[in-house]
Amino acid sequence: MEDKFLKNIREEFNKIEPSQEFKNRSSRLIFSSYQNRPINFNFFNPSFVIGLVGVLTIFAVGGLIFNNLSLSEHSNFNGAELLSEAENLNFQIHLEEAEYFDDSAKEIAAILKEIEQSN
Amino acid sequence: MKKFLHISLIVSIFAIIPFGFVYAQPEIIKDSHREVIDSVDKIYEVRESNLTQQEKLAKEMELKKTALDKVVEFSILETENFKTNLINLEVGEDEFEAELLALRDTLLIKLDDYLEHFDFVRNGIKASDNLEIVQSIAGSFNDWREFTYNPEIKKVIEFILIFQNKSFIKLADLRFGKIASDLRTVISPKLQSSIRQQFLNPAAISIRGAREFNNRAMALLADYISEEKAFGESEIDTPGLEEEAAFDSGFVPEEEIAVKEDEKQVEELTIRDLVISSLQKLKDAYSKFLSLRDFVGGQSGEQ
Repeated sequence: MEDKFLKNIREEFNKIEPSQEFKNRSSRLIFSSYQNRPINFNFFNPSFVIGLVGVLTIFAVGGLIFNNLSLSEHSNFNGAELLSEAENLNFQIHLEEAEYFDDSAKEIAAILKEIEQSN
Repeated sequence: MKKFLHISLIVSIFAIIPFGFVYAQPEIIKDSHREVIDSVDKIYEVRESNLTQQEKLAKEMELKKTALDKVVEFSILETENFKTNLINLEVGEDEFEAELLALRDTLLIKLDDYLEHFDFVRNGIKASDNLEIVQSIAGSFNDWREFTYNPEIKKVIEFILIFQNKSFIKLADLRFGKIASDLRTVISPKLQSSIRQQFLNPAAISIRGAREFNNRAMALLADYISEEKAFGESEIDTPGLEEEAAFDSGFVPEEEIAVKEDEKQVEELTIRDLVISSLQKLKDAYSKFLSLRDFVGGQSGEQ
């Protein structure tokens, strides 16, 4: 059972990505550095450093985009009321199940009495 | 970058909300309930119609048969639903729960017996060919529900409530752990201690309180085990004994009465009361988490 609210958050996460131009440039940078060569993890190797910088930039830009998305554009994510409502609702449903049985048991007893009685 | 880290703390506060553990009344049971009500309405309609007395009697027998069958069908669906929910609970983490596991098995066996009984009653309804028989089946089914079925279903519900609540408490713990660990890595040490005082410590106390209430409810649930055993050993009921003991107590000084009343109040808390109190404590903990989220959000906005 997935809540709408969680779904929203998941959708927001899916939206987070760097711009196409940035992606292209970064991937060009990363892939151009080790064409047909074994990966060398020497930290001083220029291609590794360039790649690392590229990856870190993706994270940083991704983070900034996420930041803006979550705080300014999407009030749902930031809405304390929504969250507390969702939680309260869940706690209530939890107990309603028990109360439902109490009520229905009384109702069924009354119905059976009705069927039992001759007109 | 620091702002981004603040956001990650906010996300961790959000990340584990107790969804997915709650079961709503399945649609099929609601439909069945509606059918019961409709079938009873039809009995009233015929009663108030312009048909002759004889025609009314003939119709009434068919309609009562249908209504009674619908009531049994509703009881079957309800019982199956409780059975599924009982089976789905995670029980048996420690020695104490092993005992409760045995109680769950006993309750499950009873539910299976009830499902058999429903079939038996249904066959009786099908075979009945006059109004008196239908009415007498309704009467005995009502008694059976009142004295056998309802009290045991009450235990089943209590069992479900307690263990569902336990899963909520576990989630709150998990949430607390995540927030606390994010706090250590993200927030400055100076701010950390004030956050602990304002939000985390009270939340921890609330979660502990929730666990205590739920444990008390579990202890009451365990009392059913000894009841079952006593019932198994001797089927003779001795309701008079307690009353006699009450008579013997005679004069009691006033202070003692006050103490006894206090004890009584403690004793009188039902399993459901305790679970409600436990849930209230969990709500308190979550409201602290939410205030913390707002607080951290405010802090990151200022930077």
